Amino acid sequence: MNGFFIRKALLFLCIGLATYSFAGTIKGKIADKKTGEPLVGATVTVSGKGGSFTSKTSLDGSYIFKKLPEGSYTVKIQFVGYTEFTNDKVILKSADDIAVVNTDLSDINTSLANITVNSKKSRESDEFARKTEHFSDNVVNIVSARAIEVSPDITVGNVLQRVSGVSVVRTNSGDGQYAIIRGMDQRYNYTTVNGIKIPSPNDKQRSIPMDIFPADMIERLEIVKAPTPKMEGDAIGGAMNLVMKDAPSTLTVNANLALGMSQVFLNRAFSGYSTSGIASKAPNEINGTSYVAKPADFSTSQLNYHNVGLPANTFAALSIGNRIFNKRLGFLLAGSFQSIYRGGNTTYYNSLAPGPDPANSPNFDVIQYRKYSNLQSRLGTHLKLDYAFNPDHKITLYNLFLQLDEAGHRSMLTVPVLPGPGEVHNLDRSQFTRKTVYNSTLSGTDRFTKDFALDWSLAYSLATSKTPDWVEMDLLRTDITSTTYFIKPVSHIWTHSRDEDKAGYLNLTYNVTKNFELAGGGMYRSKDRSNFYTQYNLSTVIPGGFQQVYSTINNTVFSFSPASNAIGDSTNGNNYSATEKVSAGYIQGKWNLKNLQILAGARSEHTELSYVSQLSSQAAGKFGTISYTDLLPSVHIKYAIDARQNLRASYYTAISRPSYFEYIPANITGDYYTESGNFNIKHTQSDNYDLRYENYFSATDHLFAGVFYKHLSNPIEYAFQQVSNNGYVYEPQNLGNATNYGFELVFSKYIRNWGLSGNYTYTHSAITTTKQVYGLDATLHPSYSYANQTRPLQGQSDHIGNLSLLYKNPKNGFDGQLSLVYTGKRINVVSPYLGLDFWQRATTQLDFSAEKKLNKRFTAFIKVTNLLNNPIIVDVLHANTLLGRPEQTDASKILVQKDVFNQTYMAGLRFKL
Amino acid sequence: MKNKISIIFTALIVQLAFYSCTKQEVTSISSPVFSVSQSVKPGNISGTIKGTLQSDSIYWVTGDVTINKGDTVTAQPGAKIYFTGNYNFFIHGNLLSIGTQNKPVWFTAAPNKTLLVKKDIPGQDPTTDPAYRGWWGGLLGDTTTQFMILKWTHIEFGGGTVGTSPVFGIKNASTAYMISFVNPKGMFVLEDSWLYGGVDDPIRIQGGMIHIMRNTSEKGGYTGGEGIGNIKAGTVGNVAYNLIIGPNTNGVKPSNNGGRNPQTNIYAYNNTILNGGYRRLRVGNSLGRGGSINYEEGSEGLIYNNLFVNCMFGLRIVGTANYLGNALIVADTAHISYGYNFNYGDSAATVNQFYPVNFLTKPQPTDIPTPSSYLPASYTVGSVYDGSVNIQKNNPQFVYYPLPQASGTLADISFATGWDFRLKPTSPCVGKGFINFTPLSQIPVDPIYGATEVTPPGSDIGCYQLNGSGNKH
Repeated sequence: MNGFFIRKALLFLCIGLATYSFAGTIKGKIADKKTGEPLVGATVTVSGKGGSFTSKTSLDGSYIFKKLPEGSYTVKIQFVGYTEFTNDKVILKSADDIAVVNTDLSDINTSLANITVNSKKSRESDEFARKTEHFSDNVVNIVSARAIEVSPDITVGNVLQRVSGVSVVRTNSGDGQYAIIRGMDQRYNYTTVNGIKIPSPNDKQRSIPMDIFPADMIERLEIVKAPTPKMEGDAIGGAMNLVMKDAPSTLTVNANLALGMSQVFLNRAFSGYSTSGIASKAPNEINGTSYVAKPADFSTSQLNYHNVGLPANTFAALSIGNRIFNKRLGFLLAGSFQSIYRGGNTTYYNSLAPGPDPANSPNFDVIQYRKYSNLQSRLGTHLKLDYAFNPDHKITLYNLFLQLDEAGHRSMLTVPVLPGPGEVHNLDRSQFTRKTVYNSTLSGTDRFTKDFALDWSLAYSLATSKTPDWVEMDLLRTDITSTTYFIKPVSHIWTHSRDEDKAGYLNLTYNVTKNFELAGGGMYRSKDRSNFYTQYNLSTVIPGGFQQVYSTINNTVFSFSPASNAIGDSTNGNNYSATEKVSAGYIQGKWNLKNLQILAGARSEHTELSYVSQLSSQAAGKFGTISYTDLLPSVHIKYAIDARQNLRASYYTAISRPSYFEYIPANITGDYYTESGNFNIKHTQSDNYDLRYENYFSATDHLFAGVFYKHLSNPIEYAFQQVSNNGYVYEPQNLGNATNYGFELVFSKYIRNWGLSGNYTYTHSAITTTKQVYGLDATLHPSYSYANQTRPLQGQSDHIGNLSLLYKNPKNGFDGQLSLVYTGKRINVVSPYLGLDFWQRATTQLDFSAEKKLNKRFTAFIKVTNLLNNPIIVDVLHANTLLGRPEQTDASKILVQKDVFNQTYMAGLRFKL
Repeated sequence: MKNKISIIFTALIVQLAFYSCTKQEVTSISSPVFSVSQSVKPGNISGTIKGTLQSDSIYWVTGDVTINKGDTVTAQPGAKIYFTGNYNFFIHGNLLSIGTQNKPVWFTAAPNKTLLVKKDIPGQDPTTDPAYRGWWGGLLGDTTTQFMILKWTHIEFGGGTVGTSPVFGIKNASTAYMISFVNPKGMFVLEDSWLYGGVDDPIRIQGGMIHIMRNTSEKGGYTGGEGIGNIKAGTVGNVAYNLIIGPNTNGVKPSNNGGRNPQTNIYAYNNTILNGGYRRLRVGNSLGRGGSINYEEGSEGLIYNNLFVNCMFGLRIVGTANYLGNALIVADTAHISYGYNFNYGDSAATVNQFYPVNFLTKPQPTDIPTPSSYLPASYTVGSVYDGSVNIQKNNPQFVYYPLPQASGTLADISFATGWDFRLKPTSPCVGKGFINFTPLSQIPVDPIYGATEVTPPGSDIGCYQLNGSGNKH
């Protein structure tokens, strides 16, 4: 581990902790008059004969001025959105006198009707997030922009892991990409931007890679764990809503610029390549499917690797917003750009089919030492315009464009698992992927009478993913000591997918009585999706049928041998297209009865999906249509024990739709078993119960404790299905029912400048699936059989938690936090073989971030992630048959994967106007 | 206004009531387009066919051919099926190809309706040999196929590519096997037939009751592939009396890999295998993939009376090992028996692998040459030994095939045409065979719907018997 940066970080922390000792004191506490919550960051000015001093209130609302000379002082307290307070009769009689000035400020907003524009500061603050949680109708967790800003995270994928009940699935370079909410895999969750569902650039799944979102573009992240009827119903785990930054009430300019490094590239070189020579289209896309390709049609420039001398990460973001034309037109234009050299080192034991004696004994062929050098360029821009015709009618146009480019290089050395000499391979893969998400939403809110309002949205979204000319090169040597390399055939793959949504939403709200609000509405979405895949294999065999000796990629002679390989494979089963039409309607009522609020209603969703595959028309299921309708009732009860405590109970029903590709019955034949889609799978339905106690001790301190229970019918799991008298395919199936229950605890507590916040979630789930057993029969002959195995759902950890130590000093503008994420052991990969699932060990990640306000406009910040450099380790829980081989130290389990990502460092400046 | 609002909400309630109960999936999935099979007539054929490919007639395959489940296509003696491009037979039903010695059936390539000319020249460069070009795909069975029976049939020049395979067991966008059979309860018969060329395995069996007897296999596989049988789990039967020359890798490779029952059980006897294993790419672990008969990954069976001439390895019984970097998995050694196998080698490299080093093959006293005549007393199974005393000794005395091989490398001769691998009466193979076992009998004996003849083990080692039985080519 590199100690220098850590020492530096600790030094930075210590400077912030430096305290002062004075005497002659004015101190006090400031709170909100209505709620009694402490007001954090209020400006306190003390002026008297000794001069004028300014400070800010701390996290518990307190302030203190020490070592003031005796005399008469004026204390003035100001806070955005609150009426100002002045006391000009504060007297310090002696140098050791203490004057206490406490006051409660009243919120000026409460006196204004129909406030449509809140101050930007408050909306992005933690306090606002807590308030939203407090007053929301249902069970949500919210992360504020401010919390993200001071956190170590730069993508939403990483922010998610801090949220109670959420763990993440990481990319091969260590970034969080998919969220597992309360043990429910990504397929059970959805993502919306400003409430509008966004299609996925992923080629096969519906889930959106959350690392595509730069963290600095969002105002808050809402994790809805119990959706109301108004929300889309496919949220068995939950829904992630990204509320993007909104137009501020006054001219606001934010900018930040930062530089960073990844420790992994201080330890070893970043091996990159130029993406400029990559052909965006395959020869058979350009020239037609019957085109006979020539080796000259294929570029190998992306197989020329070079080391990048100083792989410095750069981060820049700019946003400008204002309200003009008499505050009627609000706009916010923001852009974020990140260029990051990411990587990691992985040791991977490649599994074969198991052996029969003893039954399902694991077999491996090679150890792969993988080095990832990925250059990510993340671009996000959005423009939000809103126009308020009057306080009752407002129209908003929102535009979002996200692009994540990743030029990935995986360099891999493979050696035999069993000791001894033998063939080794150096494999290099260049895979450039561009994912984009575009969304444009026109929406409006109209209040027709005091009691009747509607809002509507028309949304167009497009998600694309392109991987042009993904190349893989394999060099073999007869032994690790040999210096002669032979080049194996080189594959070129082009794949792209496109997912387009057109949607309309309408919501009506009617206050029937003062205490009863009726809401209803509907939604319609039409989706078009297509996926393209083609592959070419260029042979390197040379005359005589010999392996070609490798010198450089440019000197390599390629041919199509056999010649039939020159025709691209455009009928591959990975090609498909699908359309989906979802129409939904809902009605919900909300009763406010003193301390009790009941929100109840039902949503109906009708889904109609059609697909067309590349299967032969002679095969069953070349195309198909699947439709289903769900009625999804829900009840959300909130009981306010007092102004600070809530008790919530909710029941909701939800569904999960199989992904498009899962229906398509194209066989993907592997070496050990055949995979396939399954058009008979049913969508998943669930009943979900939640109970949560919330205590908002103060604006910053809170405690949530809750339990949840989910019952799933027809969860989708992969298992063997018999397709003929003795043919089995591994395919998605409905395997009866599953349950998932658990317990969540969230807390945060501040004492003066120090805070501790954290969460803990216990989850338990169980599912039974059919797996293969290869063992000896009664006559001691090897025999295949099938057995049921009960296990947790894939990705579900029994224990996950977060703990953050925070330090905030409003006086000198220092803010620091040390954040720990704990993810308990979980199944990463469900093996088709009994007892051979891949389990990820429990891991702890520690990150650090700090910022210091330099002056009114500038703040300096640093972020350091993965301080402990803890590896991610995956095992098969089987007695270790490989003891003594690299990384195999535990006799009770076999290590199959170890990822080491090292630390990342980032330092920059933030500007605010 | 209030009225209007109530109307709106009433409408919503009505809409919800309309969907008042949850409806489970209504699925409408395309059925296989059941093209009613057309009785084939001589000329161009493609699409879904059934019926008879008539005697002495020519059929030009101009597109993929499908045989519906339950249908049978029968090729009569002398029928000629010429593939004009990279097309396959997708066989959901059954195929009967019943040639005769005088009138074999032909499945071969004819690009532009012109038959190919073989390049059977010693030392022919495989990269320019039309045998390995994959001119058409394969005869690809499915899990619904009850039988594929081929007798006196030539299958040549196949191994092209398949996109999305409509039949089980073929990878997306990969090379077709010239013959693929995937039904463990189905019957696969290949008798008295000829296999020539191909890109990957000429025959891949992923389950089946099989009878592969008295065939000739030449030039099996381009840069990989086994001569006559790459056999996976779920396969039981005899592989006997085959002449296999120049297989890229092994002649026969049974494995129990693939998740199907029953356990692979192959009786491999009286096969003659020449020059096996040398056309593999000859670098790294390609040198260690086998060369004659290879039992691995849980397979069982019997291996008797086989004649191995200039094969890179003698019989290999595989144990779990790293072999030149290739991860090997142990065969069902408890249920394999063998002996009476004959090895001949021209070079030290060959004779020193009669009992492959680092494998589990136990020398049998009945083997020729007699192991005790050259293995040291200290020899243990799989250890290195000096077999140089056997170089060019024990010439099996083929009627016409010069041994020691005159020139070039052992990879150079991979075809049978022009040679005669019958034994001279003076051959040391004569009368040395073991005949006291009974072949497997899953396949009925029948001139059409079964095996014409299950030739019992022969007393002469190899596929030709002095008494005229065995291989009839």
